[in-house]
Amino acid sequence: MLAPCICVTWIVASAALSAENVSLPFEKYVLESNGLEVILSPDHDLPIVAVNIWYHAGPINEAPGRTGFAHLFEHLMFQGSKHVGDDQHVAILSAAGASEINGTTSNDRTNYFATMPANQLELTLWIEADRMGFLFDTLTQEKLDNQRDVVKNERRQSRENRPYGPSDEKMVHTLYPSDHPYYGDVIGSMADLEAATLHDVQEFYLRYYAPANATLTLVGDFEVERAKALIERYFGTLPRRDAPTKRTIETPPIAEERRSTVEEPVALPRIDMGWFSAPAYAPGDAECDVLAFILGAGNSSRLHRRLVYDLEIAQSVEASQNSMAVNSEFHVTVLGRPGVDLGRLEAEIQKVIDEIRQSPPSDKEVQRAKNQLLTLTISQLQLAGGFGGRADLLNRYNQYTGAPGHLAADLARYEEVTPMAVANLAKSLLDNKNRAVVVTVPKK
Amino acid sequence: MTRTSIALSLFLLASITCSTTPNTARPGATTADVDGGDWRATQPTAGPEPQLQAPVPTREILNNGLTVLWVNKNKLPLVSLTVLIRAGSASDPKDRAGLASMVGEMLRSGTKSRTADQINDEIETLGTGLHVSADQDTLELSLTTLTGNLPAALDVIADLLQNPTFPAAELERVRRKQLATLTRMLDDPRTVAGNIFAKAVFGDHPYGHTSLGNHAAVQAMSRKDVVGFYRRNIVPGNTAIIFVGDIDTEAASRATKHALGAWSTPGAGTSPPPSPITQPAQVTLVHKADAPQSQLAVGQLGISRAHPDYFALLLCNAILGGEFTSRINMNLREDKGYTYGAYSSLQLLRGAGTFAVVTGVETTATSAAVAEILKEIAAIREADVSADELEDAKHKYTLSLPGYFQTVQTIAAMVANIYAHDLPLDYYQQVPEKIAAVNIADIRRVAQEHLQPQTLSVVVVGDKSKVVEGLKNLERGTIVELDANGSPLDN
Repeated sequence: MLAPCICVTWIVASAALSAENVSLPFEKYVLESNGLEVILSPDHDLPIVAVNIWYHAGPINEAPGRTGFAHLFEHLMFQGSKHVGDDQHVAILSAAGASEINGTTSNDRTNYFATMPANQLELTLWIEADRMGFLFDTLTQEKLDNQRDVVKNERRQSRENRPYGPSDEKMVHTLYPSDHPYYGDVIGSMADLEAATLHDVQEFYLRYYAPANATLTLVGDFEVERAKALIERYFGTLPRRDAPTKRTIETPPIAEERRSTVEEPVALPRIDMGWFSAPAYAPGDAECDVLAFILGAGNSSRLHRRLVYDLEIAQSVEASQNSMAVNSEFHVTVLGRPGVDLGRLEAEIQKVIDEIRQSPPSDKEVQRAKNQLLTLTISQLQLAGGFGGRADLLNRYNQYTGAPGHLAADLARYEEVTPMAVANLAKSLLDNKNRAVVVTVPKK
Repeated sequence: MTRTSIALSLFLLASITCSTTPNTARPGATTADVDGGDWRATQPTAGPEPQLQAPVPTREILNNGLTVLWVNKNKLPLVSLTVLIRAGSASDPKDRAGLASMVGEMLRSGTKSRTADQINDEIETLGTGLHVSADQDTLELSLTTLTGNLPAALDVIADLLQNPTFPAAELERVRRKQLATLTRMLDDPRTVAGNIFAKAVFGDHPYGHTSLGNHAAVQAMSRKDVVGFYRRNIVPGNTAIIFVGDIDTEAASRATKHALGAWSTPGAGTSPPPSPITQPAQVTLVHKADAPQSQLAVGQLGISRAHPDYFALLLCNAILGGEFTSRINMNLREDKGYTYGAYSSLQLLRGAGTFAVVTGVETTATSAAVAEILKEIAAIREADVSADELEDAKHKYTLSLPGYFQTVQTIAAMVANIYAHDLPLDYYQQVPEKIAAVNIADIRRVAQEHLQPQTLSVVVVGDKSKVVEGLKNLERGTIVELDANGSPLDN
C-alpha cells in the first residue's frame, strides 16, 4: 500500500528537481593581480547579499604542538584591521543590518561570512578585504591574550563542561596519532593555546591568509558587473603573496581495535564507535551517508527501532559520515538508558551492525535514506549565506571537487546508490578490527 | 524568478520589489592603492535601503473553528507544515508537570489505523521527520517536506490529531524515556541553570516548571491524564495549521478542509495563566564538583508578549546584552575574557515573561562576572543610552529583517508567533515603524521600570568550594543551596 505511493511522490519530487528551480548558477574567475578566486551567484529573490570567504587553511596546516592555532587565529580576524579599527568589524556590519555574521574553523578550512542588506555589498567587501590585506600591523599581544582567554572558555564550554565533551575528544585522540592535524579536534589543547606567541600568529597570517589561498563567494541580490568592479577595487589591489604548498598527510590505518574508557559526571553511559571512511566526495562517500541514514536517521532507522523502541536499552542513537579531505570518519554513537549493562548494550549494537554486513538493506530502506538526504539538501539551498547555505555550498564544492557547479553531480551520486553497494560498503567498512571504541562510564 | 501560476497578489512574498540601485562613487583602483592608501580608511556609504514588505499570512477559519494560515514562497519545491496548539506545560494540571510533553509524544504513538512504527515509517519514507515539542504556552508538531509529498504527510498529521488511541503499552514506553530524559537533563549545567532560574523567578506558578516535568509527576501520569489533556486542549478551536512554501491558496484551504474539516471536538482550550507573584531576590548555588566553568543565570520577571513596552524593552535589551556587540558581551568577553559569550534575553510568554542574562564563565571569574552583569544593569537604568547605541540597535532589527524571510521554517516560526500571541496578521510589516518610534527617554524609562536590581535572582551552577566565598562578598543575602533538581540540600 505504501510502496506505490512512495514511487509516485518520488517521481513528483524528482521532476521538480530536474526543473530549473533547483539549479545553482554561478560564474568563477581568478583575480589576475593576486590569484584570489571569485565565485558569483546572483539571485534577486530577496534584497540580501551573502559574502562568504573560504581560506583554504585550517588545523590541516597546523604543526604538531600547535593544535588549536587555526581556530585561535579565526578569532583574531574579528578584532579589527588597519583601516577598520579595533572591535569595529562586528559593530559596523551589525549596525548595517547583518542578519548573520560569523566565522567557523573546521579541520580543512576556515570560513568567514556575513548576510547583509543588498545595498551594503560595498561595505562588506571593504571590511573583508581590509582584514585579508591589512591585519598584520594590528595584531597585538593584548588582543592575542584576550582572545586566548575567550578560546580557553570556548574550550571549557564546548568540551570540558559539556556532557560527553571529554569523550568526544578522547575519540579523536584514539583515532589519530598526536602528530596528525586532525588530532587537535580544531579547538586544540590548553597547553598549545597557552604556548601560542604573537610571532606564531603573524607567521600564520602571512603564510596562509594570502589572497591566492582564498575563495570569495557572493550569493544574492547584486549586479555582476558592479560586483566585479568592487571586488577589483577592494581585493584586486591587495598585494600578491604566494599560496602555501600543499602538505601530503597520511592517516595510519587502524589494524587492531582500539578501546578507551572515559569517566564523566553523567548519568547515562555512551558507546561511540569510529572508523576511517572514504574522503569527502570520493567514491564511497555517498554510500556512507546512505548507510548512516539507514542505521541512525529518525525513529524508523535500524538502531532506533531495535535499541530505543524494542529493547528500550538506549535513549538515543546516531550514525554519521563526517566527510573531510584526508579521510572521513564514520561513527555509530549510542546513548544508553540509565543503569544499562554496557556489555549488553554493545552486544546489541553489534547485532545491528552484523545484520547489515550480512545482508543488503531493503529497497525501501535505501529509498527512504535517499529521500531524507534529498529533502535536507534542498532545505539547505534556501539560505543565501550562513552555515551551510548556497555560498557555503559553492565554496565547499569548489574546495573539495574543484567545481563549484557540483550540485547536479552531488544529487546524482545519491540517486545511483543501490542496496548491494550499501551492503558491500558495510561489509568492508564496519570491521571491528578497524575501529576505535570509546565508552563513557558514569562517575558516581 | 517566481512561477506566475502562484503569483497571487494576496501574498506579498510573491510580489516583493527589490530595488537596490546603489549610487556610490566607485573610483577605479590605481597603483597607488596597492600599499593600502588612505582611501581605504573611508568607510563606504550605502545606497538606498532596499524596500521590502514582510510576508503577511492569509487566514481562513474553518467551520469547526480550526485556524488555517499560509504564506506562499515557491522558490524551491518545499513546504513547511506546522500544527500549533495553544496549550503547553502551563496547562499541566497540578502534580502532573510534564503532561503536555507526554501528550505530544503520545500523539505520534498510535491511531485507529496506524501503529507508532507505521507512523514513523510513513513520515520518514516521505523524506521528512516529524518534530514534536512543548513549551510553556504551546504544543507543536512540525515537518518540512518536498512539495510532492505534502498530501501524504498531511494525511498522517490529520490522523494523529483526530484519531489517537494512546495505547497503554506506548504510554509506558514514553514514560520510561521521559524519565531518562529528566535524569539526563541534570548533567548539562546550562539546562540545570535554566530550570533553577525559572523556579526562582516564577515559584509555584505554572511557568515555573520545565515542560518535561519531574520524576514524581511523570511516574504518576495515567492514561486518563493524557486523554483529559487531549480532550480539553487539542481541539480545532485552539489549533492552527500553518503552511509556508510551495503551496497556493486553493491547495492549502482545500487540503485542510479535506483532511481536518470533519474534526469536530468542541472547546476552546485553556486561557493563559494568571500573572505570577514576584519572588524574593536570592542567590542560588548548585554545586557541580570540579566544574571548569560556572554557569550563570541572572534575571527576574519580565513582561508578557502583549505588554505595550515590548518594543522599547526589546531595544533596551539589544543595547544591554542581546547582541554580540552589546555592553555585557563586550565587557565580559571582549574586555575581560571571562567567557566565550554572555547574552541577555527576554522570554515573552502569553501570561508573563522573564529577563535573563545567561553565560558560562571561567570558575575563578564567577563573582567578578556577576558583579559586572549587575553593574551593567544598574548603568542602563542610571544614564541615558547614547543616540548611536539606540540607532545601531534599531538598525540591527529593521535592516536585517529580510534575512529572516529566506526559509520556510523561519517564516513558519513568525506565523506561529502571530497565532500564539494573537498578533495582527501584518505584524511583521508594522515592526519597523514601532521600532522607529522608540526614543532615548523610553529606553531609560523601561529600564527603570522593568529591570529592578533589588529583585534580581542570581543562579550559579559551579564548584561550591571555589565560588562560594566570592558570592558571599557580593552581599546579596543568604546563599540558597539546591541540588540539580531544585530540591534544598539537607545540611
